[in-house]
Amino acid sequence: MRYLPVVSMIVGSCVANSAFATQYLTLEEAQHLIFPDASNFKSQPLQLTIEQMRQIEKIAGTSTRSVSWRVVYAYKGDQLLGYLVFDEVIGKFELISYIVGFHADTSIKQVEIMSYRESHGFEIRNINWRKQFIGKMAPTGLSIGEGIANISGATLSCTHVTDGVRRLSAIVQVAFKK
Amino acid sequence: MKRRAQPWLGTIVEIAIADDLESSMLHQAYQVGFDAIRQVHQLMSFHSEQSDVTRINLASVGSILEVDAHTFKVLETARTIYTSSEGLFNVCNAQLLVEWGYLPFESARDMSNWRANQMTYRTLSNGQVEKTQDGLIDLGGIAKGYAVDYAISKLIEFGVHSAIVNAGGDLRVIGNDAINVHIRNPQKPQCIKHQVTLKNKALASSGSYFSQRQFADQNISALIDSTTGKAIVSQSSFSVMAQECILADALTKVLAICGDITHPCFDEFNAKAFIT
Repeated sequence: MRYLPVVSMIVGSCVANSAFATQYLTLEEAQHLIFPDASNFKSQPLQLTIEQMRQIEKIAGTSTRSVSWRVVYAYKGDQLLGYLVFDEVIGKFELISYIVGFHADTSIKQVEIMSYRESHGFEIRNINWRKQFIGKMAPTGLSIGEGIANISGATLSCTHVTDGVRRLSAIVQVAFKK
Repeated sequence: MKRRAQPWLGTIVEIAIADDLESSMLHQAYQVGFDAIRQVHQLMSFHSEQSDVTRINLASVGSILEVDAHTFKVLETARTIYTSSEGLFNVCNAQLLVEWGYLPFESARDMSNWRANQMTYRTLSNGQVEKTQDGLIDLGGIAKGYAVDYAISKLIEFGVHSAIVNAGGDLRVIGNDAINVHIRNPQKPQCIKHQVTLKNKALASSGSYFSQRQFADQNISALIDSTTGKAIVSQSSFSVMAQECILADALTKVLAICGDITHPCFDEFNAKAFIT
């Protein structure tokens, strides 16, 4: 380390065993944010057929990854406004939950990150570690790493989110496009 | 402080607002901020076929192009820092990034070879851009900083007093409160190493620790020394604090290449550099 004008050293150089975590939006907040005009939302899991999965892989240029997906339909009265699809992706050592809103014609309306969590790769890939967050979508549900909200460093690419959005877009096109 | 995040500019962009706004105003403020980021993304993306950057890259030498005022400002600032840093900062190295697989470029057009210190365009006084030499530009080393500045300016215009915009580690803070920013430990990126306190300032960091890999028996990264065409392969983190994020972002590349925190370029732009 050379000259550090207003930089203070963090003792021990690592925040032991902690994760950087930010909860941006709950499921309900995300639904209303993306479809502010919707009067009701209907959650219905989407089950893909083998043929649909083949088509999706062709369009997205990446594997479908799963047969079933969490989809919420947004309605204004009886009129379908669009769809919301949830997903989570694992990067170098971050777990990102995100939601994509689609218009009724299946074009992308909005992408929002719901939560971002960083930890050691092992924990991220460990299903039990990930399970602890399930159902903890309430704003007060998570407080890990609260003091570490603003991080600077080499840019961490979000290719896995971009690929994920492309995959969801293909899924919605194949499953819902009229 | 409430936060929202969206994927733009190849990374996660986060906007945090501390003002006590009622819910619909807060949503509008986020909308204004993310619209600004989206605009910069669409104009300056290397990947999009419609962006100003792609139009410049596909243009033949001698072409004079109309570009958006935002793109013009970034290209002009990039040239200014190129001159002040004696070529250390250069946005005209994208041919190497394509060759090394960091960027895609599938045009059938023949390209001349990469040359040291090549500057392939000039900005004209009427807001147009002239392509002066063959080559590819990539604004990945400066556009995130500009997007942060633009989003901050739109938030201020909207009436927000206290906010942070962070585009993958390039960030700017406005408001009366000082904010703590943590810098990653380059050796253990999932840990933090330093803390910086920022008030009405921007901070950006660069490092090769995420992009480093092997290519044809050499170690490469997405950070290039344009005087030699060699990649910067280092276990350090290079940070710069400045008034504007566009300057902080671009100057981190000068610091990564020269490794000298006393380079006159930092004083010229009223910036402070540090290596961790």
